Formats: sequence, C-alpha cells, structure tokens
Amino acid sequence: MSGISGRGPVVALVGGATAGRGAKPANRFVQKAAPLLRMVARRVGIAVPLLVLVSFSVFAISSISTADPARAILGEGATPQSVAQLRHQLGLDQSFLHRYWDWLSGVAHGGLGNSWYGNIPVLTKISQGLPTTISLVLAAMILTAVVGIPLGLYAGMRRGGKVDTIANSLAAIGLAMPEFWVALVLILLLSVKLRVLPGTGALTLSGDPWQAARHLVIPVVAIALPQICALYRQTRASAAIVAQQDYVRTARAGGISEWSLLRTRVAKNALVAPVTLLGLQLGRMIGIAAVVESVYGLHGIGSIAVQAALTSDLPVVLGVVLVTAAVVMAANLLTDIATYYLAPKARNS
Amino acid sequence: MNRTADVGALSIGGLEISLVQGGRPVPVVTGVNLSVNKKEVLGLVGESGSGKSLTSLAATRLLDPRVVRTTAGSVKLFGKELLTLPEAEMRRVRGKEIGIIFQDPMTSLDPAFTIGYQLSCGLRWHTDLTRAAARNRVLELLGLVGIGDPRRRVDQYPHQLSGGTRQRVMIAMAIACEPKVLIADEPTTALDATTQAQILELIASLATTMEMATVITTHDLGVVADVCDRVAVMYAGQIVECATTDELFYRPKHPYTERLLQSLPGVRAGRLQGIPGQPPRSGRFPQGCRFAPRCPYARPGCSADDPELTRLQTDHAARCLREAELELTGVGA
Amino acid sequence: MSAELPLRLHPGLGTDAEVLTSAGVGTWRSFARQRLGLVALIVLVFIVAATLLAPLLPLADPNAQVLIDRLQGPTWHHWLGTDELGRDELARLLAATRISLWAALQATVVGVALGVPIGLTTGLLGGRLDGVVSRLFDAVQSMPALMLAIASVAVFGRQLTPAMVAVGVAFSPTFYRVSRAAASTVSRETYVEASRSMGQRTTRIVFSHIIGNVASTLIVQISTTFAFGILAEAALSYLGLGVQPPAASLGSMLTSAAILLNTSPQLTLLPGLVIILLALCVSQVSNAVEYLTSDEVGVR
Repeated sequence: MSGISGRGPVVALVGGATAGRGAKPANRFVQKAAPLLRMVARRVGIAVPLLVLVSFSVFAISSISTADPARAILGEGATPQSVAQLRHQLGLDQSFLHRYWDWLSGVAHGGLGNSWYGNIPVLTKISQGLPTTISLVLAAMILTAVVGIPLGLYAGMRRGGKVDTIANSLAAIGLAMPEFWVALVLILLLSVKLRVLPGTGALTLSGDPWQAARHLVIPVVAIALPQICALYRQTRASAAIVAQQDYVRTARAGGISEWSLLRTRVAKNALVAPVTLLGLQLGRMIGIAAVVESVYGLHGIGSIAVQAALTSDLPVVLGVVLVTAAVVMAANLLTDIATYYLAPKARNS
Repeated sequence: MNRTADVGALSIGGLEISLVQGGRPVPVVTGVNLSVNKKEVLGLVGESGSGKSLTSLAATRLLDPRVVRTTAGSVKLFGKELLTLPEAEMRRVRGKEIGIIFQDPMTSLDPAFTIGYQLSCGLRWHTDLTRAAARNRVLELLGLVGIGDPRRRVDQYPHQLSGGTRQRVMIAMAIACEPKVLIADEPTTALDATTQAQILELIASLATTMEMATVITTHDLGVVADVCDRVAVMYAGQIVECATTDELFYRPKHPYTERLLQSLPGVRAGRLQGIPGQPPRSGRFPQGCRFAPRCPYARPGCSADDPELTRLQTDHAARCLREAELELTGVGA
Repeated sequence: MSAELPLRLHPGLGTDAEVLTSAGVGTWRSFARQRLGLVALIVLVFIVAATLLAPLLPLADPNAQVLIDRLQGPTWHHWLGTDELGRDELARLLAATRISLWAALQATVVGVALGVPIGLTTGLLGGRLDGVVSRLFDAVQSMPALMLAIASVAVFGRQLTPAMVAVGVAFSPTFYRVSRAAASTVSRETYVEASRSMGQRTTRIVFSHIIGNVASTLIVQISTTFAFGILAEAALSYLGLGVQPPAASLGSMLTSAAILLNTSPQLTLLPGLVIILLALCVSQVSNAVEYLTSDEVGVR
C-alpha cells in the first residue's frame, strides 16, 4: 500500500526533473559552445591566409632559384630550343607573379595545377597516395597515443620506480634512432631473418585486409617509435607535475584509489601538453612517412613528393606541402578543441 | 572495540616520523601522544617545521613513503590501528571516517573538474548513491557549508569561486561522508581575516552538530583561542605542552608557550615580542631540552637532560625541567 | 623535455614540509644525471676530434676503392672491414660523420639566426608587428621539416646545404617562441618600464637580462635541433636528396648498404649506430644542462 501510494509523487518528481533538464541543457550547450565556435572560426580564418602565404613563398623562392626546371626535366643533352619551348609550355617564361596568379585561380577552382610530367593534375596524384599515407600516419598516431600516454602517466605518477627508470632509458635511445634505419633493421630482423612479416613492397589497401595490415606493421612501428618516446617523455613530465599538485592529495584524502586517480584526475590535468604535442607530431609523422614510404616501397604522398623533388616537379611538391600544411593546421585546431575541454581555466582567455 | 569516551575517537601514541635521507631515516617528530574525543576540537600549534602538519597527516597515511615515514608508534581510530592497515582498507577510512581540510583552497581543488564532480566523487566512491542522489546530496552539502545558490555553484569550476567559497567547498568535501574525525591542516592560513573567522566558526559548529572529533593545526594561537577546546603546542618535533585552552592561555607551564602568548598581538600593549633565535633544523635537534638554546629561563642542566612530558593536572602536561620553579605569565595576568 | 622535479614530502604539505625538503632527496640521482651528461660530452668531443683529425690519422683514403678487398670483415688493415667497393669502413664513417655534423650545424645556425633576433625584437616591441610575425612563424611551423627540405630539393636541386637550411627554417619557430617569450617577460619588468619612461638607453641592460633568462632554454633547444639535424640529414641523404657521391654522409652510406641488407647487415648497422650514438650524446648533454640550470628546490 505504502509502496503504491509512495510511487506517484516520486515518478512525478523524476519526470519533472527530466523535463526541466531536457530543456535546459540545449540552452546551456549553445551557451557553452559559443566561445569554442568563435575560436574555431578564428582559427580557420587565420589558416586560409597562412596557406596562401605558404604557397606564395614557395613560388617566390622558386623564382629566385638559379636552377632551371625545364633543363632539369629535359636533361643535360637538351637543345636550347627545346628547353625554351618547354619553358614556354610550362609558363616559366612568364613573371612569377603572373604564374602565381594563374596557380591561385586554379586553386579557387578546386585544383592544384598539373604535374610537369605528363600533365597529370596534382590533385589526382596526391589522391592516389593519400590512402597509404593516411593509413600509415593514422595507425602510427594511434600506436603512439596508446603506448606513449598511459606509460607516461604511470611513470610520471611513480617517478623513480622500475617502469619509470627502464622506460626513461629506452625513450632516450628511441629518440636518437632514425626512423628509416629502424625500418631497415626491422626488415632485416622480422622479414629477412625471421620471415614473419613481408619485406618491402607495394601496398594494396583494396586487397586482403590482413595482408595489408601485415604490410603496415614495420613502417608504422618505424614511424611511431621515436614519436612514442617523445610523447612518453612529455606525458611523464606533465604527470609528474600534476602528481605533485595539492588537488591530487585532496582526491587521495577522499579515499580514491590510485588507479581511479590516475584515470580521471591526473589524466585530465596532465593531458594538455601531450595532446598539443600529438598535434605537432602529426606533421612530423607525415614528413617521416615520406622517408619510410620510400624505404618500404610504399606509394604515399611522401614518396610522391620525394620522387617529384628528385625530378624538380615543383607543382606536385607544392601540392603535397600545402596539403600537409592544411592537415597540420587542422590537427592544431583539433588540439585546441581538446585543450578547451581539458583545461576549463584557459577557456576565457 | 572499546568505544568509551576515554579511548578517544582518534588517539596517537608514541608517534615517530622520520625523513628518509639517503635510505637512512632521520626522526623529525618524536614521542607524540595525542587523543581527541567526539565533539572535541583540538588545536595543534607550532611554528613552521615543528612537525604539526606531519603529525596530523600521519593519521591519514598521506605522506610519500619515499620521503617521509612513520617509524614508530600507533594511530588508532576508535581503537582500530591505522598504521598497519592494508592500503585498500585505509582507503575506506580516508574520506569516509576521516575527513581532511587542506591549507590552500586555491591549489587544493582540481582546476579541471566542476566542484560538483569533485564533491560527488568521494560520495559515490564510499557510498552506493546514484548519480542523481549524489548530486542532491552535493547540493545539500553546499547549503550546509553556507554557500549561496548551490544550484549555480555546483557546475562551476574552482577558478570561478572566491577563496572563502573554495575553502567552504573543501569543508563540504571533507564532511561529505559524515566522518567521525575531521583534520584541518592550517585551514585559514591562506584566507583574509574576515573570512578566517567565518571559516573557523563553520568548522567549530560542524564539529559540534556532526559530533566529529576535530584536529586543527595552526601557527596562530588566535585561531586556537576562538574555537579549540584543548591545545597541544609542538616545538621541534615534540609536544611541549598540552592543556585545555583556558589553562594554556591563563597558566602556561612551558617557556615556549609563554613566548608564543607574548608574541600575540595586543597581549602586551604596543609591544609585539618575537622569539629570538631560530628553531632547530628538522632532525638536528640539540641535546637535552630542544628549546633550551632559545629559552630565556635555560640553566646549564637544561641542555643535559631530556625533559619528559609530565602530567601536572588532569588536563595539563608540560615538557620542562624547571616547570615547578618557574612562574610563567599567561594572557591577561 | 622538462627538468626532473624534486621529490616533495607530499604535494604542498604546507610550510612544515618546505623546511624539510631542503634535505636534498635524490642527490645520487642528480649526480648520476650529471655524470651521464659528462660522459656524453666527452664522447662527443672525442668523435668531433676524430672526424677533424681523420686526414692526419694513419687511415686509408675514404674514397679509395680496392675492389679485391670488398665486403671484408674486420682485419688488421681495416678495423671495421670494407664496403661493397672495398673502401675502408672506418675511414668512411669518420668522413661521413664530419659531413653529418656539419649539416646539423648548418640547420642549427639557420634556426638560431632566424628565430632568436626576430623573437627578441618582437618580444620587446610587442604590438601589431608581434602579432603578424608570430602568425608567420605559425605558418612555418605547420610545415614539417622534412617536407620543407624535400621542397627545397625541388627548387634548388639535390644539394645538402639548401636542404639543411630548410630544416633550420622549419625549426626557427621554436627559437622564435623561446626568445620572444623571454624578451616579452623582461620588457614588462618594472625597471625596464621605469628606465624607458626616463628616456634612458636601456638596450644593454635589457639584453643582458634577456640572455640571462633565455640562455639555458636556448642551449637545450639548440642541442635538440642539432640532434634532429643529424637525423634529418641522414634521412635526406638516404633518399638521395642530400649529399651526392662520392662524398658520403651517414645517411647516404645507408643507401648503398640497404641493398646488401641480406648479406652484409653490418654495413647497415654501423652508420645507424653512429647516428644513434651522436643523437643520444647530444640529448644527454642537453638533459644535463637543463638539469643543472633548473632552479627547482632540492634539485641540486
């Protein structure tokens, strides 16, 4: 009896509470997200002129370069006439401002110009390499974050412990290793000696996913290894600072277990710097991927850029540089959004 | 087991705390005996480095064992030994049975989480309250510690609150699970004078209404005079005098206490007396009475013999060889 | 990354703790750190001396090919054996190391020369100029060093110097930010404001203060850049974008060695180990410097 009579008001109360809450958060969300949206808009607004500036600089520098792309393309034995003809074809006989304007209006129409070899649109070339580079870099990013951050948090919390001591020494060595050399040694060990993984070779992402994944292991590990070490060190340093803070002691005094403390309080407070670093690492990884892709014979945007550089195919290199810069800027924006959530104190500034 | 009043809610016996230096422990707090009863407020008074904070925090075992360790003695909560308790059980004591208020509310609250989250964290850890129930309890707690407009405050971050409000949040956090013992480590040092008085009053009234045994450490005898029932004075890692607040203020029995009282502003009109000399560095205590080098009444014998903390009356003990011969001045005498 | 924090009794254990903390916990750790830095410094000096003195040492010409002796193991005449063209591996390693160190130095000098003066200027002057220049360095920062170096090869052809200059440019934002922050801090100090309002020439005082502020951070940043320069040079030369034969750098030695990975792995391992040793030593020296100059309580 008491149970039945007691239920009515409770339900009503709960219902009322949820109704009230349902209405409010929508409002609150808009209110809360406003400064975030402003920040995003500002950053995008800055990014566009910066990318224009980057492209302009490349054009400007290429115009003062003494090297003649037409001669480089045709080779040493080319006649002056054929060189002049190619220069005309490529528009190299025009002023660089004129060329830049042409290129920029091309960008406005959604293109990045054509390769100087075979007149293939730069975007087509880049899009051929993108899947490989994206899967490489994304996998390396995930590996870096998954290994570097938890290890760093743990070591930072327990400075001077066994994990800390061992991981510190390994990180110092790992940071000193050239990625492409790591790839070579891994190929030597895992593919030549132990034969557990495929050696160099083109990667077909459309084929058997298991085979594709096996192909990715060595390059991904090679790209990620130094970045894991860098991220570990940054996370460890931040966690060590956070572990010393008064509020961690306050949480401990509340009886929270060390694990729960690490997972919630320390993690949120210590992650600002590592997340920022992770954003920067994306750029580094794209650069490093260029080398590792070449070692491993993968067809990514990095190895496309290297090939283009070796043949003085400026439009392709410029395209890759710009795409990379845009990706890095986007990553920085994501980093800032993450920081917005991680550090409420910094929101107002 | 024995929950009678004379056991004390929290009793510390023969406590020795050491600093670990190059693997060798150097005692910095020695032979501390203390007991606090239900509803009682004990003031633990001393200068910086006297070991008062170490003593109060040893009870919670929150000290970093790589740097500082409890090397002897016992800390009992209603007769239950805490120093040998497994860490997992100790966690059930912290926050649940012993609530702690820290010195600096500016740094003791987590900047990355709302105060509502931080308050409900301990609650949900120790009780089986649902998220909604915990939130209601948090709102109730915020009201209890005198924070206006709890519904707005609960979703704010610490940096949006004033120092006094933050310390109120700290208090709310400490009493969230209705602990039996409350330890406040210099709870008002970081606050301005007006706020100090309000915070002390709040702690004292909560101690009474919630029937907690309370320890307040402070370097300010003024704090003690306002809210404490009993006072223990610490010097160089030892308790040098322990008495009811009135006894200690009117009839001090240790020269150090006398000096402290003399240095209170307004006690001797217009003249603020400091204590000449420096307290000994931790772990490097002089032979005999540790206060002797700074004591105006010291005799050669004082540096030879180690004085005992002697019970003079039912509720008054002092650690001075010349206690019987000295006529010390208290407040208003 | 950051200096080792001292162990504290417990986070902010009030005033009690601070007195106790000066007891110098972790002394042996600090000693170990410095000793490691010292060893690294000695090793570095030794390597630099060896590469500079290599022509005077009784070693074979690094470019002399003796095809009969190719791919030998260690012998009395060739301490580290020979490569696929019968060249003495030790002599080549020394010559290559010199080129690699020189390349890393170029990148570092460019980074410092670009970042530091501009950073100091904008940091002191502030205002709109500061905002614009800072955005420019942001733009530079969005381009990975290796990508910029690859672009420089497209423009200037396969030469090591422009590529390393590009690496230096890519690293200049870090130097810029560090110097700008130090200068802007100092410019806001009261005595600078005061002397400025009295119309005095403050350049000298201000600069000495800034240098004092920024020196240790700069040293750490310089060594980080130098270590990265070694790695970047290796990568670029490995790809054939950097040093051109017959000259060899540690990276280009790996290009030819990689083909022989199956049969003569030592040719791949040796230059790699030298790269690691160099980068490791530089970073250890940098750690020691950072450690010694940090003024956290109880560190020393």
